[in-house]
Amino acid sequence: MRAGDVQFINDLVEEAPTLRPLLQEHLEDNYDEILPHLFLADVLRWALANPGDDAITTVFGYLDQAFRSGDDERQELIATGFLENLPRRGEVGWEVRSRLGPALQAEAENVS
Amino acid sequence: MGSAGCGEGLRRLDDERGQTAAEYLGLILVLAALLAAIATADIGAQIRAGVEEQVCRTLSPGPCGDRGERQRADRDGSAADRARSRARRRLGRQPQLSEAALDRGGGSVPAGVTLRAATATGRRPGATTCFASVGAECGPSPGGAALPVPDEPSDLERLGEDVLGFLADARSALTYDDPTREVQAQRNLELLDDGLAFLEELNRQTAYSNPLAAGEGSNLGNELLGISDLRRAIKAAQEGDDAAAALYSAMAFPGFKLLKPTKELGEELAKRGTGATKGGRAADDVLPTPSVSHPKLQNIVNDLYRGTTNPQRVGNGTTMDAIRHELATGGAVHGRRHLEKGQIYANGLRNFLRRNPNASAHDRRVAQSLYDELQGAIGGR
Repeated sequence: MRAGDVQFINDLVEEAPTLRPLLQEHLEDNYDEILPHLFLADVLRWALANPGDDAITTVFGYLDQAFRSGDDERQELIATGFLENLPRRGEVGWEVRSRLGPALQAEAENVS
Repeated sequence: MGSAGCGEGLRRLDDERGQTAAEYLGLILVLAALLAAIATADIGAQIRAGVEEQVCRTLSPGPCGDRGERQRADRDGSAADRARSRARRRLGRQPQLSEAALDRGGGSVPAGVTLRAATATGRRPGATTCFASVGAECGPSPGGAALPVPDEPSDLERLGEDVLGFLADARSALTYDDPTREVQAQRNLELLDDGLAFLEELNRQTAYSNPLAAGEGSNLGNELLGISDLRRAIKAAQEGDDAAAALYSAMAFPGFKLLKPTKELGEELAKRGTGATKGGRAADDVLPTPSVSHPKLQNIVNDLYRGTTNPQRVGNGTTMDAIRHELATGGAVHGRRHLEKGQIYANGLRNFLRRNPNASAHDRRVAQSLYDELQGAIGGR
C-alpha cells in the first residue's frame, strides 16, 4: 500500500468530517489499516445512500481536485477505487454522476 | 456408475487386498476428473459409459450390466425422468438417501445443495471451491437474474450425477476403524466433494463460456497432484498390484494421462470463453455476481464484479480478469491498471475472514474463493 494514499484518505476525511464515522468503521474492520480503494468505494456508497447531503459536493470536489493535480498512482486510485463503481446510465443512483467535477466526469466515461 | 455392486466391490477389495479406502477415493476422484474431460471434450456418453462399466467391473465381481436399463431410460424418458431414473438406481444401493437426496441426484443439480451437504460431512475450513467467480453456487445474483437451466441434461449434468454416485459409493466404503487412516480418508472425501462441486459448477460455467474455469481446472488438477494416497496407488499399479493396475488401466484411455484431463478441461473452457469474447457479447452473457449474506462482504464482492455489466468490459469484467489481462499483455484496462486495487481488496477479504470467523460457511467460502482468485491473478495464474 502506498503511504501517500493513506495520507490522501486522511486528508479527505479532514476535508469532509462527515466521513469520519465511515473511516472509523473501516479501521475497525481492517485492524486499523486504511485500504484506500475499499474506503473510496464506501465513500461512493455513502454518497449514493445520502443524495441530499451537502458534504457530497465537498467530497466530490476534493476528489476532482486530487485527480487533476495527482500523479498517475493517485489518478489510478480514484479511477479504480471510486469511479469504476459509479452507477451506469439506467441504474439506481445514476444521477450522482452529474455532481462530479469535470475531470472526474471525463474519466468516468473511460472507466465505467 | 453402472451397478449396485460397485460400492460393495470397493469394500471387498479393501478387505481382500489391503488397499486403503483412501486410495480408492483418490482414484475415484481422478476418474471424476477424467470423466469431466471426456464429457467436456464431447467425446461422448458412449466412451464415458464404457469407462464406467470397465471401472465397475474392475471394482466389483458382481453385475455391472444395468446399462441397458439406463440406456432405455435415457432414450425413452423425459429429461426429468432420466435424471430420476439414474437417481433411483443410486437410491437402490444407498437406502439412507432421502427423497430430497433423490431430487438432488437428478436433473439440474443446484450446486449449493451439494456444497451444503458437503459441509455437513465436515469439509475442511476454508475450502476454496466456491467457484465464486461465476457466482453460481454462491446463489443468485443480487439482481435476481436466474441462471439458465438447459431443457435437456448436458453431458456434464449427467456426469455430475454419476459423480454423486461415486461419492455415495466412496462414503459407503469408508471405514473408520483405523484412526491413522481417518484423516487422509476424510481429506480425500473432501476432495471428492470438491470434485463433485467442480463438475456441477462446470455445468453452469459452460453456459457462460467462462474462461475462469481454466483456473479452477488447474486448481483441481493441482489438488489431485497433492493426493499422497493417489500417488501410492499409482505406484502400486506400476509395481504390479493387480487391483490398482486394473483400475489404472481402466482409466488410462489412449490420449489421456492421469491428472492432465482436468487442466485440459480448463483449457477447453478457456477457449470457449475466448470464442465468446471474439464473437461479441450477448446481453445475457454477464457473469453473475455472487450473493452473500454479510452486507460488508457483499460490498466487496460487488466492487470486484462491478465491471461485469460494463458493455466495454475486458474479459469477464471482474477485477481479477482485469489483472490477468494486464499482466498478460502489459497493458491496462480502460486506461487504468488494477494490480494495486487487487492487492488492496485481497487484504480486505483477508481481514473479513479474520474478523468474521462466525460468518456463514457460504460467506466464508465466497470470501476465501475470491481471496484465492485475487492472489492467483496477482501471481500471474
